[in-house]
Amino acid sequence: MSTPQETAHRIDAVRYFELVEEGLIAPDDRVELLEGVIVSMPPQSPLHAAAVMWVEQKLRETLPAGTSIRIQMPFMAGAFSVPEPDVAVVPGCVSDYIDRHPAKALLVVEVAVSTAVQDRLTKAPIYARCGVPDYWIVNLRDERVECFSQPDPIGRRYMRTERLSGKAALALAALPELHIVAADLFPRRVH
Amino acid sequence: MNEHVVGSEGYDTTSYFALVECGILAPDDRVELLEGLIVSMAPPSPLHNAVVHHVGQVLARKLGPDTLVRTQMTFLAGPKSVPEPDVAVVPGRNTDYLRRHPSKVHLLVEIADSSLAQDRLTKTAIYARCGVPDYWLVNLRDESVECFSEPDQIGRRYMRSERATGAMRLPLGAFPDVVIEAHELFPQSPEE
Repeated sequence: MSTPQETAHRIDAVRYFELVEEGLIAPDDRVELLEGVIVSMPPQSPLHAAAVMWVEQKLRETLPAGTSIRIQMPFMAGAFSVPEPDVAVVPGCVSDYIDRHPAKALLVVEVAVSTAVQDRLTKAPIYARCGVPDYWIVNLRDERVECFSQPDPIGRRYMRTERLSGKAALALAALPELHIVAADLFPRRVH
Repeated sequence: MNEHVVGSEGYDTTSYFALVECGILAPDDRVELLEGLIVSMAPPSPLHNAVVHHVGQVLARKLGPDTLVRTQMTFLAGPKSVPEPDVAVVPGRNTDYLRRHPSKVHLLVEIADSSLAQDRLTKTAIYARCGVPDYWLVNLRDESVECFSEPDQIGRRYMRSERATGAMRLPLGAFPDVVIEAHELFPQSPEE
């Protein structure tokens, strides 16, 4: 169990951005704040980058008005977490986030080549806790989408998880108009 | 997937190793437990691998055959952290660790390119808290060694830190007679 003192050592979002201001985190340091801990992000492989772009394009095709897509940008996931999810669908438009990062998302997607475990065991509780209604891990290793839905913010977990592939439809609580199947999210070579 | 449930305090070493036992963590998953969080390790670059090997060899040569130098192996850093530091100089013999991972060290070294901020901000707090007497952060970006010593376990920080380059000597409290200069940790190509 954590003692109050241990909790006090966690870095909160306010302190995290101060560390950037103070130069202790450099602009080119690729890091996230997860549950009060500053964590590196691995350098991106071409496959990972291509898959992120692919997911973004697929979502954009059917995205309803009044929402916008952010790629690898800060998301305020509670007082102690500032992850930079690969893709986030957020309410509103760009001008809504000029002086603050979004704290609400309709969908968060992480693309996993080597990070599936972290995305599953560390990120899922973070997104569940701040009430992200749908969270997908696009797992490039086994070409499946791990879909987490029905967040329980107090229990910090999703009540429903499925692993989908092929033509299985991905349903979204907050974006019922989105029609997408699992296979759509994996980049294909086009010649 | 109820096994994904974790309290606000995160995983401790027992629940972390239980994830390995029950197959949720596979042996080839490259992760560390840091302050209760399961965190991915970056895929190693060639330079990172080469410097880890070089630093391991330099330390083994300087400290002699009776000193145990481990590279990228598990270290128990308190109740909620199980990092795999790049190089660890550990007390005792290899056979002391057949059934348990070490939880005491003389020196830890992390070699940082993409992981610099994590090594400087997160690992320092973990290593200070569990009383690692000397922690060297080999900064590949500017060829310096950031040396942390005099851990304050309660404050979770090192009281002393200095940046060493070139011929500056690196502090190593457990081996006061051993001289290692900063530049020795960086491999040099023959043509340089």
